[in-house]
Amino acid sequence: MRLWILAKKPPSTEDAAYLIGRLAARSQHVFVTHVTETDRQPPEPPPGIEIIFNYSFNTSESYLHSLDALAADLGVTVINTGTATITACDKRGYIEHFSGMIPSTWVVGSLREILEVQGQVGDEIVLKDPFGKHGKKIMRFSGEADRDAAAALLESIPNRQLVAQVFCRGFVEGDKRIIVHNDPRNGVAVAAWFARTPAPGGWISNFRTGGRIHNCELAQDEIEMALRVAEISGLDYVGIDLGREAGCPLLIETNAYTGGHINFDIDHREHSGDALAQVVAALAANGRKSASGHKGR
Amino acid sequence: MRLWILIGPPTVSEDTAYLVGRVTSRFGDVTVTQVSATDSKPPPVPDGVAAILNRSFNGSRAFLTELDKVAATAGAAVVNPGAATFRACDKRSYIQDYAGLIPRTWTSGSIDEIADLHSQVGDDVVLKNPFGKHGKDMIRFSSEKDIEAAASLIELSGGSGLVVQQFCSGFLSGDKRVIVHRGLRGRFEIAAWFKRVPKPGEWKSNVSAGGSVVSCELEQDERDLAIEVAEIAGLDYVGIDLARHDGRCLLIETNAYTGGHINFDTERQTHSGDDFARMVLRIARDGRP
Repeated sequence: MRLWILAKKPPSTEDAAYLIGRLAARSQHVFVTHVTETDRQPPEPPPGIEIIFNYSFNTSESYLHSLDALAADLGVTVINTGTATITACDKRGYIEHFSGMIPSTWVVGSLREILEVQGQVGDEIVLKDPFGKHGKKIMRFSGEADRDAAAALLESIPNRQLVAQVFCRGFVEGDKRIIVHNDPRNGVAVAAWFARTPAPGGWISNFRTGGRIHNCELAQDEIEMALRVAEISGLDYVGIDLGREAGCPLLIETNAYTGGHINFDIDHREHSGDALAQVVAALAANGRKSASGHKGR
Repeated sequence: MRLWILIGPPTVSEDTAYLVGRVTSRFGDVTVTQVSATDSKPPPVPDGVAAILNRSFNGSRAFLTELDKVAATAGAAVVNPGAATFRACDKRSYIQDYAGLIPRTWTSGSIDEIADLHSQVGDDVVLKNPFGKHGKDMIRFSSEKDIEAAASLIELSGGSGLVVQQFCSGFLSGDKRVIVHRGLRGRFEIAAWFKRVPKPGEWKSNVSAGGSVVSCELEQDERDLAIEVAEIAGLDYVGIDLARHDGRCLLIETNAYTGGHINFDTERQTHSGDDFARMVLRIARDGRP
């Protein structure tokens, strides 16, 4: 198998190195091309590639659409497709795609709209950059006191649009990252999972904001929601963040560029890397089943 | 620049996956070939290879000698060279290579001789298959009750005899794995280290024998010994196991196929992998210093 990995410039995280290593160990030929987060076009492909693993962490629509077009020209499968990656990266689309599975959510473009949503909710809301990552560009909005911070956040977003969402107090307890892969032979399956809790006094569970990971059990309703979200997302390999509110799971985020999550403290650490390698091998051999049931290649 | 990775089974350990991933991320073009630990010769070298990373876990002299030959013909550097890998795998060679740096050591294939050496040492000895791995094929010989186990081990060694070594008191509290690699200008540098502690009541600290990995400090004599051993070993990247006996730091084993040692509990975990990848890149580009 001739695999082309579009990767972030090194040094990568341990998780990313581990995933790439797992893939390399199962491939005969691996090409790696470094992509920066600001690239608007994918690089020139190496000759004779059979499958592309997009692990570039690039979220630009132009880059991702061009990647799909390039793959179509070459007649090869992309893991994860550009289109599905855009869906995962743009949180505005969750309102349509994951209706009923997310907390009440709006797209707002002005302070007036933010205040209107907050007034309608009658409680705190969360404001997020639709393309925000690593727990950045996200804030709690309680009302007038947070006007300046909200205005600054709005100003920092190129198209001046934010996602406004009901603040779920259950999310402060932490969330669960569930890694799901979509094997062309067997469909979606949970590969790995762990819980993340915010730093003391914090409310965001991301590592970068001081969150910690630990073992956890998965409830049946969480497994079911993760599988449903994965199917809708169209991603072959996805990290799904679920929180709980009023006894029910709710989707917080889908991550197209999730890591392998190697952590010796985590029981389910081993599954993700090798499971992905097997998905890649199966997709390289058989392509992706299209909606009509035909092979994707 | 093309790298050829010879790798053991595809279901490699996390450590190996991590090292391979670090290296793959730094090279544009990587060919991976699966090799079994029992293969007696390497597969054909792909075209245009600048360096070969040998992660095959193959310790056979025939395979490793041939690997050096095909690499020389292809004009590619091997990380680690086959000849040096074989010497690391054959613990009998330590008696000559690391004289004065290891516990008192002999080779023997006879029970009577082992019993004599045990009396001569006046303390327990460790009997090892010279090519043993993962803490297997190794026993502690304390008295006559161990004769039967020693005889089985001799039989398993298939005529190569056993390594007989003074038991180090430090085994009980654990040994230290120090990972050393060629840095800039070929000078050896310590990349990572950790302590391996045996299970309570045990003396083998290997992780596959139930040992656990913990963070530790590295003493100056341990640093000095690790660098001295790496200079002798001729490996580009080596895991060096050190233990203490009567307060003195001694070499127990060198490991040509050591992993990346990613462990979130160990402070030095991140250093080994990326340093390793940069070293492989330097060797591919500039050759071995």
